Amino acid sequence: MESLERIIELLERFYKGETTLDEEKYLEQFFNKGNVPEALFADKELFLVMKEPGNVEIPDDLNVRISDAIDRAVRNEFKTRRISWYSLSGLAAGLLVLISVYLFFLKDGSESLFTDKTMEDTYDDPIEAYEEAKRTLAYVSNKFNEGTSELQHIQKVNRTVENLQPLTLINKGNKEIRLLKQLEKAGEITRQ
Amino acid sequence: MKRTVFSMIIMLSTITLSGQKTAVDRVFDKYSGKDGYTTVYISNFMFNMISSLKSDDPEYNKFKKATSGITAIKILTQNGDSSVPFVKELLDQLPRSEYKEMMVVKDQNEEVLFLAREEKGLITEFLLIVSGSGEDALIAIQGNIDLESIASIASGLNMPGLDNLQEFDK
Repeated sequence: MESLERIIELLERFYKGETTLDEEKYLEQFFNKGNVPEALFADKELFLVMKEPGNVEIPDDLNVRISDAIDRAVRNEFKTRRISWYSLSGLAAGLLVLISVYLFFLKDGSESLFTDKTMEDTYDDPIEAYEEAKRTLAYVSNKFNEGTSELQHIQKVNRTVENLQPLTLINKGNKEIRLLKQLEKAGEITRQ
Repeated sequence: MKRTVFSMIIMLSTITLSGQKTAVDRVFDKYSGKDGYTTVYISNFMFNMISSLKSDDPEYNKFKKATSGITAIKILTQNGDSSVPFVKELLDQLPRSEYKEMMVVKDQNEEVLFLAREEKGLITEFLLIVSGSGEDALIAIQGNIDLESIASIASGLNMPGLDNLQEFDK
């Protein structure tokens, strides 16, 4: 059994390509003896094939088949990559269009009343615009003042209320009179 | 997945599309350029031009102060008997929760309505709407609006009504 361990060790080194010719010959003799343990059957076949490649039948079209397989692999890789690039760029372009449209209208909508582009300056000359703006503001101002001027009636009410101030004096006097009356009442009671 | 993202984006863009025009815009679009209506638009750009003018007009400085925050003025007036009043339509469409009523001045032949839109305590839009006289008018002012200095413009122009205000100040 000592030799079996040696065989396994030699095989490992053979697979690594480290065996010498003598060692290979030793292995060959061992495998050819026929007394090979079941565990090493696979190794035996592999070893013998590797020692004598002539035993293996090589298909005539192997070359073609290999290069075909390589071509196919390369083409597939290329194809998948191209598809993803195409769809990605399409998606990106679509998104870009939608986002810009969205932003365009969003920006438009956020500027409240004075956004529409159809509205153009009525005046080219700032002096004319100034006159019109002044006229407009004067009109607004005038109307506004018309409204607020009505508030002066409140002042009239205030003035009237001010005139009523002396009445509070009368009230004060009234209070004192009431006190006097109470004194009188008290005096009457004591007199009785 | 892709499909849902796409349809969401499309839906969003249609929502913003449909929501972009305000009631004032719609009324302006509908009537501007038509027979019997006059529109005036003075843009932010024009206000910048005006503020760089050199003028001897004594009103000029007062005007500049009053309009320093204003970015645009839009005016729509109806004139002539052949045209239809537009104020009712405007008021039907105007979101009244945004535009607060400041004042209504009524007299025999017309009604003047003052509306203001406020943002953070500042008036950002001011609408003056005249109706009832058969010649409806809408004046829309946008920007940071200083009503006090606008109200003071009339004083230089010797308008009736202002005397009352000055009396009121006393």
